[in-house]
Amino acid sequence: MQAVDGVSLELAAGETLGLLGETGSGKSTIAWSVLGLVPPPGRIEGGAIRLLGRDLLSVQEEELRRIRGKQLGLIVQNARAHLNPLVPIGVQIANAYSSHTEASPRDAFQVAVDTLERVAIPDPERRARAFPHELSGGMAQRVMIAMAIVNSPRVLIADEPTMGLDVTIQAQILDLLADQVDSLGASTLLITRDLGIVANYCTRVAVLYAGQVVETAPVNEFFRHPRHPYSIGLLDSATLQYVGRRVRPLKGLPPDFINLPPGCRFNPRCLFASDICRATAPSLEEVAPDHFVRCFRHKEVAEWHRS
Amino acid sequence: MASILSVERLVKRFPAPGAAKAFIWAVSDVSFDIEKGETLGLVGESGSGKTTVGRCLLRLVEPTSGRIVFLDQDIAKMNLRDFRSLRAKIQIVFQEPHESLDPRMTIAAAIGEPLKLVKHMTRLEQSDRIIEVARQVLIPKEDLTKYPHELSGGQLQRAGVARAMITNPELIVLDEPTSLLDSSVRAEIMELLIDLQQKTDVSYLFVSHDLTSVEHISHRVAVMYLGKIVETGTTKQVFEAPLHPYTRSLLSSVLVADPAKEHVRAPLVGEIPSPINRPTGCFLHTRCPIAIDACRTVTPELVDLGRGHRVSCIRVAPLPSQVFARNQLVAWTDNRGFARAEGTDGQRTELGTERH
Repeated sequence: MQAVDGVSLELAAGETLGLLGETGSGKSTIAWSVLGLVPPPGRIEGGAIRLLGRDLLSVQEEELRRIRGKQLGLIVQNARAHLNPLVPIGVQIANAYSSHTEASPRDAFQVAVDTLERVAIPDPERRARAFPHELSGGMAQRVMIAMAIVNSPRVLIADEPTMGLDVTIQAQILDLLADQVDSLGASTLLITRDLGIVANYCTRVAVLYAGQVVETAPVNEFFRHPRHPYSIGLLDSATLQYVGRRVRPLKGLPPDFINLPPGCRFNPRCLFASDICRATAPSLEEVAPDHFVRCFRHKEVAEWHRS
Repeated sequence: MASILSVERLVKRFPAPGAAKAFIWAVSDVSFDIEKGETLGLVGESGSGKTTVGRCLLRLVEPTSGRIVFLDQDIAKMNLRDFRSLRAKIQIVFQEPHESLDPRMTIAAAIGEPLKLVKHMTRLEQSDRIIEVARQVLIPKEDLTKYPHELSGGQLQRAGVARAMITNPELIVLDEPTSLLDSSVRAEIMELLIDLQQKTDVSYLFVSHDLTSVEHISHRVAVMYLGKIVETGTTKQVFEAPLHPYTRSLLSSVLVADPAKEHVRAPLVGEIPSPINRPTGCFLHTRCPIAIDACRTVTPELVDLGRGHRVSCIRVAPLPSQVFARNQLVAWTDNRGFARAEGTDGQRTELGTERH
């Protein structure tokens, strides 16, 4: 089974790319691939992952470990589950720091305290000695961000960083993340299923469906002129705004990776599917400057959406 | 119109673990009504007590005090055997369909299980009813003989809805029924719930933190914070002209899926306080941007500001009938003693004067 197939993404300096997909679209697999952490028996069959000009797929494990954490920072959902429950959070951040520097434990701990302050943890000196179970979900997510930025990475990968948090806390965390990314001048790959997050925090978006990018565009262009029927279905579902017509929210389910339909992978759920869609797989085509769509019938789709 | 349900001064406290005389105050003094065919949205973040309210209605947790009048009977104090005869009329759909669907039962058996609350039905009538309700929620016949692990999250939630609908209830508590689903599946379930209400005139208590869904499905809304209702009114009143600082902050945290709409933030500082050691006065004063000294000592009451729009905040006074678009509201300034909203176009609108 191929969880991800022929995905090309480019992250420019300072850019926040939203990787949008629903359950099973392959979005997390892409994150793990970039980090070289695809769990066995999974493996990367082909392609290249270049960071600052170096191909991460060809470097040795040792070297990859150096890059990971130094130049790549990872923020995952449900941070509490990913922190070591037996080690104070300040020590965990200090360890992340000292594994990439020659700093003394004392200096590293001070860096950890400073970083906790940067992520707006109140009373960071004391909090640094707290254990993960003493933190609320929002606090744990801040600690995760602190750990990801402590080495001033060039690229941050945030995999649904606010999943399961309340909306007021979600806004706090995403604002914080955006501020930190800004001050580092880093680029972010923001993996999410939430179009609200994409609209408010991303500069570009790539929509994943069944392991393929089906549409990618700058955010403003995407929301104004979505072209892929799947993107439009997602937009309608997200806002629940069915403006007069009861828009057919997306019917059915994404295909099984073991049993992909011939032709376009979206065709069984698509209102526009015609013979060619059922026979031939479409490729990504540039339909407007920097706006790519994988759909034979994007012109009709765009027209229908406008009407 | 007649109320199906009338909740009066409901309180639920739990003993705090490890402390002899301390309590977790999950619900304090909550009152609301639901009419026939109406949906009340009960909104709040984790720890607001909204789920506990829903569970009290089914006696899944026992209320500490207060009245729950359902079909003219107080079910809060009723003994459980008598309540059982009413249970067919009040049902619940859980966030996790697995909570209500036994993994060893087929979908048909799980959907039909509540029929044991209904007397005098033959086997044949029961299976006819299962098929009928499955058709209503669009579960294909071949799925009825499957087991829960064979269905997707969306299909399971349909089964959860069918199970709740099968006894023809007057009221269904929908406890975050869509919050674990992808947005496309969520949209389908929302449409289904609205359709079923139109066909059967069932009432819903829709408990959720997902404001987009609440706005979509509810006729009226009640906003909870730390066990209390802080604002209630029609969906339009609460979503288009929110008055309580907590409601306004909550709504401003919703990320609208449209980059052309300017996102206006009215953040609350910090996190929700502990329900064991609740703040004095107004529970929000520790995080509120317009709190004054009096908020620390005075406990605000829900005050009707006109047409049933009720707000519990001493900083908000009755309003002239203004309606604001949600995104026009920016912030409050209190330097001259006024609660204010500032429009994105720079126009200032007075919201109300301070009351002493």
